[in-house]
Amino acid sequence: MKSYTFKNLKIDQSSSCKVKFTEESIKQFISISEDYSKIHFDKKYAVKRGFKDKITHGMLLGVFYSRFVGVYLPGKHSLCIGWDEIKFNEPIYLNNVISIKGKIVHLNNPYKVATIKIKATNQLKKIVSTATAIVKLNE
Amino acid sequence: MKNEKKEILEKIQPIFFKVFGNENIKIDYDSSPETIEQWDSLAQINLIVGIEKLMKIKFSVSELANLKNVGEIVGLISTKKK
Repeated sequence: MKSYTFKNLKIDQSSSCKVKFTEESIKQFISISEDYSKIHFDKKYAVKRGFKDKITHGMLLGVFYSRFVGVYLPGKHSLCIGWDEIKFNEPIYLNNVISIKGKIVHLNNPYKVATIKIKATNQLKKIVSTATAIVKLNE
Repeated sequence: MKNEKKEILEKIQPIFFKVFGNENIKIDYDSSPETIEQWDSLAQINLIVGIEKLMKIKFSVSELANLKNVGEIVGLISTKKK
């Protein structure tokens, strides 16, 4: 786990991590969220709606965005105070490996708040999602 | 000067709507944490961060300490944009 303090952060500073979407992670997400929408576990149902397989929950990626901020950038001292503009551009399928990359685009000195633009891409380098995290450094 | 402040107020109003989650809330020069219930410390942070990004300016700790209402925020932005 990284533990950047506010004074260690710079504009354009970035970090990345990779996440594999497994059957187990989807099951755990369903268990916690109770989002039992068929599109997430019924292939036939998903194919009928234009997808090539069942798709993962968009907010399961959101869970990993949380990990990115809390573990990688800024890490230990992070206190997320907002998420802006979370977009899901492409479906994520089972066993897709997603790269999450975040870059600091704004630093507010008085309140020690970093704004981090996050981009998630799949193994085909397609952007599957973007988001903006507003993170206070709780040092 | 009056027009300039009015323009700034109009420009930053959407940030208040977004932070307070209400597009119908009335924001004028006298609006403050005393007059708007949702304007707590977390809202204050989100407002200032949003304004900095939108207006491409930076506030200092001492500048923020003296701000009492929207009118004073607009006045500060106006001096920084010169």
